[in-house]
Amino acid sequence: MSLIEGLIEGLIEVGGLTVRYGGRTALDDVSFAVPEGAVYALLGRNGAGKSSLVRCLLGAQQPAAGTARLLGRDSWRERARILRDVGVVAEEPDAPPAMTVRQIARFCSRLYPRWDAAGLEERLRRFGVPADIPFGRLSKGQKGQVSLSLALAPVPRLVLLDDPTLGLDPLARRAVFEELIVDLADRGTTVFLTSHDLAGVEGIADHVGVLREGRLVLNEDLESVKQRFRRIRFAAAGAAGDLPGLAELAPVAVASRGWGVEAVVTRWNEESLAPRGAEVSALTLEEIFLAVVDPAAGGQP
Amino acid sequence: MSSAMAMSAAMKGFWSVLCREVVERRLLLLAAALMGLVPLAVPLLPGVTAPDPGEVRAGTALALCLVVTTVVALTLGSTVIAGDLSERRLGFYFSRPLAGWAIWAGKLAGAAVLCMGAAALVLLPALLLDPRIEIGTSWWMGDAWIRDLPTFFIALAIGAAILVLAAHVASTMVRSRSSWILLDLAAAFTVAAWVWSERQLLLRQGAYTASVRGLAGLLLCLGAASLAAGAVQVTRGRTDPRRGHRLLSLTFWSGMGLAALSFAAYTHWVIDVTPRDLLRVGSLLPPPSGTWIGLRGPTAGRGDYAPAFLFDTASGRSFRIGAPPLYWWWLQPVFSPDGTRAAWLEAAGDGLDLKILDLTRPDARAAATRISFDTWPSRMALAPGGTRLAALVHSSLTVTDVATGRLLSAVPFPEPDEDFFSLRFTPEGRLRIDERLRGAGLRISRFTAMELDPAGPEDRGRGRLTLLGTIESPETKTWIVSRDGERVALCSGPFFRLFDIRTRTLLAELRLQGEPAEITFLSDDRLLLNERLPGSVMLHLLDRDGGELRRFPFLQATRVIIGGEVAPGRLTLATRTSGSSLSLKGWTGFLLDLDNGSTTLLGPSLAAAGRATGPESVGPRLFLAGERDLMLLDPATGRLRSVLGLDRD
Repeated sequence: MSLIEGLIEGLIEVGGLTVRYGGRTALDDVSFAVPEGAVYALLGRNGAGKSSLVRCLLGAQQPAAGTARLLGRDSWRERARILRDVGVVAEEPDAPPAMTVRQIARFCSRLYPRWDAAGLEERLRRFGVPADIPFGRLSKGQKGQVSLSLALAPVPRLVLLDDPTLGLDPLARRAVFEELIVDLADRGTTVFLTSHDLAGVEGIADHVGVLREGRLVLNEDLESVKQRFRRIRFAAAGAAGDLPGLAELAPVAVASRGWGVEAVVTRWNEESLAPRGAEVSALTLEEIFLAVVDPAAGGQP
Repeated sequence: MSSAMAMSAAMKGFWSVLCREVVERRLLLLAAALMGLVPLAVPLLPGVTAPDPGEVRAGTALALCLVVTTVVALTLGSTVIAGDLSERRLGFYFSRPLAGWAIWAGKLAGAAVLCMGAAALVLLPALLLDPRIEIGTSWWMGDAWIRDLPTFFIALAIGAAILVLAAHVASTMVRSRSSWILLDLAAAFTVAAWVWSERQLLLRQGAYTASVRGLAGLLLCLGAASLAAGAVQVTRGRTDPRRGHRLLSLTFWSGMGLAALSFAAYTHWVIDVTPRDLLRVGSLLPPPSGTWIGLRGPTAGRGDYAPAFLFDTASGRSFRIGAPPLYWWWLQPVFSPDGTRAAWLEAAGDGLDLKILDLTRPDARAAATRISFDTWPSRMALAPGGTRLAALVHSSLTVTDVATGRLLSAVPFPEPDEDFFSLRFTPEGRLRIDERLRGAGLRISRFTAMELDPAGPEDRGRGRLTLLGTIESPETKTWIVSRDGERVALCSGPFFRLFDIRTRTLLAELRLQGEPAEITFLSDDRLLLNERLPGSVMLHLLDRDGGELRRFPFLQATRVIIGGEVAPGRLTLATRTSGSSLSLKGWTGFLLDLDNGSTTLLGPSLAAAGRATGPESVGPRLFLAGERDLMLLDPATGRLRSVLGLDRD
C-alpha cells in the first residue's frame, strides 16, 4: 500500500456523481464515502440508480459529472489499475458460458498480482460446485457462488457486489452471505454491495445508503439508523399533526388506521419521550427502507 | 506501479484474452483441419477428370481456403466484441484488471489467429502432398497478380483483417438497436455514392490502375477506420452498447469521410493534369492546318492513365479531352481539314458525348453537341468548319450535322480490319473513304476509294456510296493518296508505282535497289520517296507524274523520317545511324532544301514529329527531343524552343 493510498479517507469516495441517459437523470449529485473495513449496503428500488452507480465505481461507465474514486484513484481513468485490488460480483453472472470454472479461474489468475488458488478450491468445495463443468451449465445459485469465489480469490482489499443474491433461493442466499462473513472475519475486507435481500444485508452491513430516484436520501451507519427510526402507534382519534410532540421526532410516514394513527419517526433517541398512550417499537432494515423510499406505505411491507 | 510494470501487466492481459479467444473457439480449427482433407478426395471423385490431379487438389484447397477464411472472418468479426456486448458478457472482462485496449486487441488478435490458422489448416494437406502450389497458373485465378503462396497469404491476411473489422463495425451497429443506425445508413449511402461517382470519373478517363489503387486504398482505410472505431468503442464505450455504438459510428464515419475525401482528392489529382504533367510525349496528332495538336502520354504516379490534350503550340493553351482506349490513341482529336475546328468524344454516363472547339477564337471553350455514341467509333472525321461529323460505328458509316445532331447519312459499312483506312471530308463536303483490303495469304492487296455524298435531300438518312476506283497490287506494303485524292502511290516489292485512281492508269513505275520505306506527297504535288539501302538511305524527289528529279543520299544513315514541309520546298527530317527505328532516341534533326539540296543541322536527339503534313500545319516544325520534350522550330532562325517545358532530366 502506498503512503497516499494509506492516507485516503475512504476506500470508496464518490463526489457529485451524476449519470444521465439522454434526458433521464439516473444519478443526481450523489456523494458518499466508504471507510476501509466497512460493509456498505446500497439499497434502492429497481431503477433507483444502483447499477449505474456500480458501473461508475467499476469504471465501466463515464459519469456526466462528478467523480468516483476507488482506493484513491479515479475509477474511469485508472480502472484496470484499481481492479487489481478489487473483487467484483456482477448482477448477472457474465463469465463465458463455454468455459469451465477451472478454465475461468486459470484465465483470471493470470490477471491479478495475488491469487489464492487454494482458497478458491476450498470455497468451491464448500459450495459444492464442480470445477470441470462449463459455466453455462451451472445453476443460477452455483453461478453466483462461482462469481463470489472468483471475486475473493485475488485477496482483494475491496469487494463490490451488485445484487449478488438476485434470483437465488434462500439457501443459496445464506451461503453467499455466510461466505462474505467468513471472509470479512478473516481479513477485514471492505465490502460494497447492492441488494434487495434486506434481511441478509442487515446481518452483515455496518453502513447503509438508500437511493431514491437517483438521489442518495440516506447514508449512515446501520446502528445509528436503527436507533433513530421508530414506529409509533396512537390509539387516539384526530389528525396526526395534532398529536403533541410528534413533529419534533421528524415523522416520515404518518398514516391513519382504523384503530388510530401510525407514524415512523426518524429522530428518536434514548431521551425521547413517547406521546402519552403511544406504543413505540424498533424497525427492521426492511421497514426503515420502505419508510424512506415509499413514505405513503407508512413503513409497512 | 511503474509504466514498465503497467505495460507488462497490460501485455499479460492482452495475451490472456488472445489465448482465451483461441481456446474457446478451438473447434473452428478442428473443422478447418477436416475441411483440408476435402481437396485430397476431389480428384478421386467420379466425373472429375483432369490431366494433373495436383492442380485439382491445389485449386480446390485454395478455393476452400478462401471460403473458410471469409466465413470465419465474418463470423468472428460479428461476434468477438459485438456478440459479448449485446449478450452482456463484456462486463466479465471489464470487471477484471484488463486495459480496454488489451481486451480489444486481444480479441482481435485471437480472431486473426483463428482466421489464418483455419486458412493454413485447410491448405496444409494439399501442401504436404505437393509443396509447390502454382497460384498464378491455377485454372481458377488466371493471370492474377498473386502468384506465389507467401503473397497469397499476405493478401489473405489483409483481406481477413478487413473483413473481421468491417463485420465488427456492422454487427455493433445492428446489435445496439439504437436509432443511430439510421445515421449509419445515411452515412453509408453518402460515402458509397461519393466514392462511386469519383470512381466513375477515373473509369471514364481510362484510369483503371488509379481506380484499382484508389479502391485498394479505400479498403485499407476501411480497415483502419474500423480498427480505430472498434478501439474507441471498447476503450471509451466499454460495456454500454449504445454509447459504444455512438462512439464507434462517430469514429468510423469520420474516418470513412476522410477516406472518401482523400479518394476524391486522389481522383482529381489523377485526372486534373496539364500537358506539363506528361512524363513524355507518347503520341502526337498534328493538324492538317494550324497550330493546335493532339497530345497524349503517361504521367507520373497515375498508373495506366494516359491523358489526352488539345494543345496550342502557339499560345500554350490546352484542353484535356477524353482519352480513347490506348490501342486507338490516334482516334481523337479529329481536326477539320481547314484546321478551324477540333472535335472529340468525352465519356458521360453510359455513353460518349461529342464536344467541339473553335480553334480560331483565343477565348473559345469546348462546346457540347447533340451527338453521342454508345461506344467508341473505329474512325471519325470532321468536315471543313466543323459542320459535320462522319463516324464508322457498329458497322455503319454515318454523317451527322454537328449543329443540330441530325443524322444525314447512314450506310452499312464493314468495320475495317486493316491499318490503312481513312475517312476525310473533301472541300465540297463529300466524305472520302480510302481503304486497303488484304487478300488471302498477304499476297494480294486491293486499294479502294469511295465517296459518300450525304447532301442530297432525297438521300437524307441513307446516303449514297460511290466507288471511285480500285487498284489491285500484290504484296504491297506502303500506300499513300495524293492531297487531291486523285492519285495513289504505292510500293510493291522492289517497285514504286503511281496510279490514277479513277482511271486505274499506271502513271509511273520505278524499280528500287533497296527497301522502300515511306512516300510523301509534297504541297506542290511532287513526291518524295524514302528508300533504305544497305548502310545508307536515299531520298528520291519525283515530279507529279513520277519522274525522278533529284536524289538526296544520306550516307551511313539507317533510317530517315520525314517531318514535312515548313515552307514549300523546305523539309524537316530526322536521321539515325543505328539502333531501333521504334526508339525516339538517337535521331538527329535536319532542315533540307529540296531545290538546292542543302541540309542544315538542327541538332542531336531530335525526332521529326510532323507525320509529313504540309506547310500550313505546325506538324513539320515539331520535333520530339529525346522522348521527353516537344520542340518547335522557327524556320526563319533555325532555332528550337520547348513548347511543353518538359526539359527535365
